[in-house]
Amino acid sequence: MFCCSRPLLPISTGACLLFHCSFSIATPSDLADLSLQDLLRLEIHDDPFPVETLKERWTIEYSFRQLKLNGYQMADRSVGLEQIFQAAGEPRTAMNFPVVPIKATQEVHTFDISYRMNDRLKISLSVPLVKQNTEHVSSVPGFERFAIQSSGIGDVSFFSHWYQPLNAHSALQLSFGLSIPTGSIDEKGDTPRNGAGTLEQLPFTKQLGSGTWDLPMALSYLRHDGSWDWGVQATARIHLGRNHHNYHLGDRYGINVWAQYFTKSYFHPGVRVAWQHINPIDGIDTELLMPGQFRFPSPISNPDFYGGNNVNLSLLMKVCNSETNCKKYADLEFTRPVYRNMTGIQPREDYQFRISFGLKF
Amino acid sequence: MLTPVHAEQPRLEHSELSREYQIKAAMLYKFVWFVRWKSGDFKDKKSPISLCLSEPEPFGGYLDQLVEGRLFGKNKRKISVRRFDKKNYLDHLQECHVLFIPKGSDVPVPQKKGLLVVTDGRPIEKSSAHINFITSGNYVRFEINRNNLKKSHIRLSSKLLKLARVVGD
Repeated sequence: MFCCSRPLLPISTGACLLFHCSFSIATPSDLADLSLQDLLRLEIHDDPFPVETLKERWTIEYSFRQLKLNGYQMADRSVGLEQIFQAAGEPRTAMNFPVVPIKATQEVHTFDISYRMNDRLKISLSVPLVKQNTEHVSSVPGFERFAIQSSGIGDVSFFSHWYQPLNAHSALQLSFGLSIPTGSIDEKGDTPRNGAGTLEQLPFTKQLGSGTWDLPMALSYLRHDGSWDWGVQATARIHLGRNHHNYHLGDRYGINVWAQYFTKSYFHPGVRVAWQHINPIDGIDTELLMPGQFRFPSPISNPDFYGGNNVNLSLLMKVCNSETNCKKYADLEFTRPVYRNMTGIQPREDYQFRISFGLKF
Repeated sequence: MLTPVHAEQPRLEHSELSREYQIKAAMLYKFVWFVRWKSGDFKDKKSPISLCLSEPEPFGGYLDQLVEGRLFGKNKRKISVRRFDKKNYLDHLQECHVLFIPKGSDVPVPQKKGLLVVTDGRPIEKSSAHINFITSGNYVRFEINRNNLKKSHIRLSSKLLKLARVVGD
């Protein structure tokens, strides 16, 4: 659909032979290097988001993301520690817990590499390294205040991205991925469950991966209007089956809209609003359970206390190495939740921050 | 738990010239290589080969960037891009090897020996130009009038003729 429907000539040895014929070339020199046969194969339909020169097929990117959790929330309201913490001597109920995380930081270092096969298809590989630290309070003697850490490789993902121009101003992009359960779900720590000096299975959100083969996907509508790029994206992440601890994380669905200002400048500010729905965890890790009536020692041990609906607002800034191209770039994103309606009692997200550095070559 | 971003946001690279005219600029440059120029077409061995554009030309600075630094032929002639107002371009034709007349221009097509005239969107059967750009579907094409070539004593490579829609004997 995007290439020469009727070959005009025998295939030439120009770029069109390898890379289809509908690419958009950024520099005049690129076009001057093509043969006349190749020029005849180029589509003239203006691409709203033209691919950078064919010489820059590879992109490598490093990202650092940080998520801070502070406090607690039930449905759409904050709850104080005293409402959910079972202090010494207090009766236990279904809504208070002897172990409560009070502050958590998750940091992910991600290494991405992508290769543009032609002006429609790009493939990429993403390798995350996860590090988490959670501070707790507890009414268990010897564990009044303790921290748990976990770190290691997360779930490695492969993606394919198919890009299809619709007209001179807009395009669609379909991204389809496969997430491999390379991240450990067997992380353990010294928790109050069995006293000091023993290591117990950590709850779901302290693990480094999902433990399941997952299908992340996204469909995006992209538009270029004057100096503005904007778009709407629908996302989903489906978890296949259950992991070897007999659960899978809740599937996610979301929609986000974004806009970014692109003019002849090094700096390109933008904004994004994202809504996401997350299902509760399906299944249960029995290693997290305690005997007795109240089986969950901590709210984050309860699979039903996972997921909900949230709306986040992000401020974006892209910094490019020159005013006219972004071969080298830095991306910054700062995200705050503006609405959250969570299932059960969950840690409250304070903010997320991301900085990425990329290079195209 | 942080979720990786599934899909990137594509980045727009702004181009001030439409793809159609980028391609036509490149083709105009390429045509030079398919003409059998004679030594008499140039003042001397080092004089440049000139691509002349009748205003209002559609390429902006793109054609200039495209030919910058490039040399033509065994004498390594520079390729120059010159622009002339439609009122006075006839006065400068002797400096030109290729003349481009843009779409919508009402200037008459000159006939001068050794001057390759390229038009944009003027049906070649009714014009005295040698090459005319057309579009076919989503592609740029060009048509050549053999009769007009003969009248101007211009010889084009058969390789170029094979790529074109050819009219005339």
